[in-house]
Amino acid sequence: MFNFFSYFFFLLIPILLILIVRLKRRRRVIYSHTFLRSFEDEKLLDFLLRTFQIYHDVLFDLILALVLAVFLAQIVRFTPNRSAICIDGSYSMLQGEGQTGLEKAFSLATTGDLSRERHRLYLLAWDTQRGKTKVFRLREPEIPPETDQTARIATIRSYVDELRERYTFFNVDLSALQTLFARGFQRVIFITDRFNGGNTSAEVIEVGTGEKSFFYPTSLHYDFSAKSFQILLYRFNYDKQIAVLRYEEQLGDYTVIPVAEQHLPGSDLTLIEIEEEGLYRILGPGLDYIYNLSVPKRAVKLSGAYSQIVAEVLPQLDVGGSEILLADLPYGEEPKRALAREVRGLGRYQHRYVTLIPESYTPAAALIYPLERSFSQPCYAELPLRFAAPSYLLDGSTRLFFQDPKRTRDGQTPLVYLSYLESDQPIKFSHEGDLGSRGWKVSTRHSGITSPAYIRKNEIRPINLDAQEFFPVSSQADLVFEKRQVNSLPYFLILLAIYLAKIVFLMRFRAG
Amino acid sequence: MIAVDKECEAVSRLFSKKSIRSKYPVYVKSENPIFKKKGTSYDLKNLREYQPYDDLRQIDWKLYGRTDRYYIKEFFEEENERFYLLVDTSASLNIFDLDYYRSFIASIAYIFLKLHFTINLVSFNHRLVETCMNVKDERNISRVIAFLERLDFAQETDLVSVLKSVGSRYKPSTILLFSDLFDRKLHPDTLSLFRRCFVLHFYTAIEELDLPFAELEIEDRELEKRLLLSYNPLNRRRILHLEQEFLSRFDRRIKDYHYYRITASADRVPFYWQLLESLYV
Repeated sequence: MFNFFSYFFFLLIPILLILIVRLKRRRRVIYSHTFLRSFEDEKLLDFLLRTFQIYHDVLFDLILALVLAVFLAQIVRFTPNRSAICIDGSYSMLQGEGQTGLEKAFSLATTGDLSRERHRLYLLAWDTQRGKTKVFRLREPEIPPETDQTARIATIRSYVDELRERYTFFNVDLSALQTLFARGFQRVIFITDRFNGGNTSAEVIEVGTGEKSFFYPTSLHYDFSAKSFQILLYRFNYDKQIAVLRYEEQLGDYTVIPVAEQHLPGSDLTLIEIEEEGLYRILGPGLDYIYNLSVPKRAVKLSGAYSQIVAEVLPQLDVGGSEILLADLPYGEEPKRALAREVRGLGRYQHRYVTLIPESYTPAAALIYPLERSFSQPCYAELPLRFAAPSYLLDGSTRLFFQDPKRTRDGQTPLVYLSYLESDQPIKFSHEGDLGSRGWKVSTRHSGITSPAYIRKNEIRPINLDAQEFFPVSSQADLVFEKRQVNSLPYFLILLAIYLAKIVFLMRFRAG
Repeated sequence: MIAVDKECEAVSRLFSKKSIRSKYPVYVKSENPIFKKKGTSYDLKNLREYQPYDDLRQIDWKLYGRTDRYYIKEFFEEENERFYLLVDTSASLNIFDLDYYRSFIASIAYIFLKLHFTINLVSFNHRLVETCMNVKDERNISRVIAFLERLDFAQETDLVSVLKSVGSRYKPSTILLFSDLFDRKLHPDTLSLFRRCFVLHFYTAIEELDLPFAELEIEDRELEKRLLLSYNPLNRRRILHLEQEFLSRFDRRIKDYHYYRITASADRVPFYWQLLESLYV
């Protein structure tokens, strides 16, 4: 790790080079100092001024290097003298009888002791554009000090309604709070309904959940070893048996099926296993969840040795006649042309997967990590999970990423990311009947994970995402990124000011 | 290479044809008329009664006719002017074109010799270094050239002590000072030690040096010092101001003080003419 002196040393090298070049460019003339005596008989201040005139650009370069070294070494952080109040923007914050969790949170943030200290207001919510949790800056609700309690609640309610229109309330990732620290806030206060315990440095304030008892599914995947679909549910004070219904085509209706609930120790999670494919409905409190389950297997055509290994190792892939091509990315010109011909032969708009083999790596089965153990952890092969990648990533290409071995758990095994960037066509939902007034959501096959999202205009939509979005990041995460909490704006302004001063002095003292 | 300008012949011929004999400068040993040497000039020194040891031819017969007593008329001694050419040989002269410098002095010396003056050459830096005295007649110009060729331009200048030394040792009435005047202790009043002073200032302007660089290191060979400057507009203005101030000290309007600033690129002949004009006026 570089420290201040290392950075400063490296930044000094170009300055020293400039000085050496300047020494060669310096002109020496022979002349009497008789009438230049005032230059010699100068005081200390004059001497410093004369030296400054000569070396002002070098001096400014030195200062720039010093500031940059201080910035890079993160010695001075310029943290703002104010705190950040971040409101939880998860789906559960919209629940509650009488007053929602969101309204409680804003009441606390705007009227309590918190409102008296200097702060900025943020909302931790789902960003539909980027597909991840993000911190949004909020304006303060305008509540005059003389407002009575009733009017205050009404103002906050209308403010919250505006937020519901503007933002998407979904499951949030607490790690996004780190961006507030990165912006320089020393104190981050996170107001939520119920804190489940996560890895965050923020101060957490719980306002209490509005829902008395509920559950919702957090993930769904097919376990090839157990040969069953595994639905993971987040459960809170819900003591009843979870009702799972299966759609029977002969009857044209759902029938209740027995399922075994398995509580995962040390968490609020419950696992339900379903063996057969089909259309299922889970009756939740106020919301039904519908799954069209099918075994996520794909038939692919193969081309190349590594693709052969991948197909053999991954149970999700069947070798056979298909319009899907799994091929090694060729290096030579002739193999490239052959592959291009083969791809063209598949026709337009067909799915194709192309893998890549770097010459320095020898693929082996050991690189493939069991899928079911990949929740929230970097898995060696993510192909099955990425089968349900968001549709906005449609760029028609598939890439294989090799992670730096230093970032892996044992420091030797290279991580292999096989990401699929072309979405499946969603399978049409076969049930057309009325789902009632309790709300509904649909999960597509291969999705692995579904969750309800409260989107604009009181509309609930399912969103399919990676498991990582639903599970707290383990403290043993392999990918460790340095947290940067240096406020770069003051450095930018300082550097800008120094550079402008340098230009001004350069114009002033430039050679005649 | 030292070369006497060919125009010197013509210049000296022109001045020799002028009827300026009566205006020849008079060399007087003493400032007090009582101790001035008795001679045969037309400048009356004294009237006194005849003494037995006096020459009868000196008796003023007109006074005898009026007073019936013998009186003797005495006149001052008359002698051609002796010029002292003080030649600066300090290290700072190296800035200047030394051939030009030597040729200039040689040409002046030749003109004076041609006009039947006696010249004395004295070289100096911080002290008197060498002399070449009593040079008469233009056929002796080789002595002058040999003297100039021997000059070694080194060491510091100390004009004050040198001028005082020349004044006390030779008591010259007229000097011609060939120097760059680069002497920190020199005050222009020092030059008033002599009755007539011709200052020939050989000067190279600092701007004539090639100074297109951002950084300038000025080396003084006399002091063996170096001055590092940023040659920016601010310092340039300051240097030019100091230079102007330095030069203005010597350009004085005083009787019998003549100042000529000579640059290496200047034509020498007009200076000869101006010098002789000043000498004879």
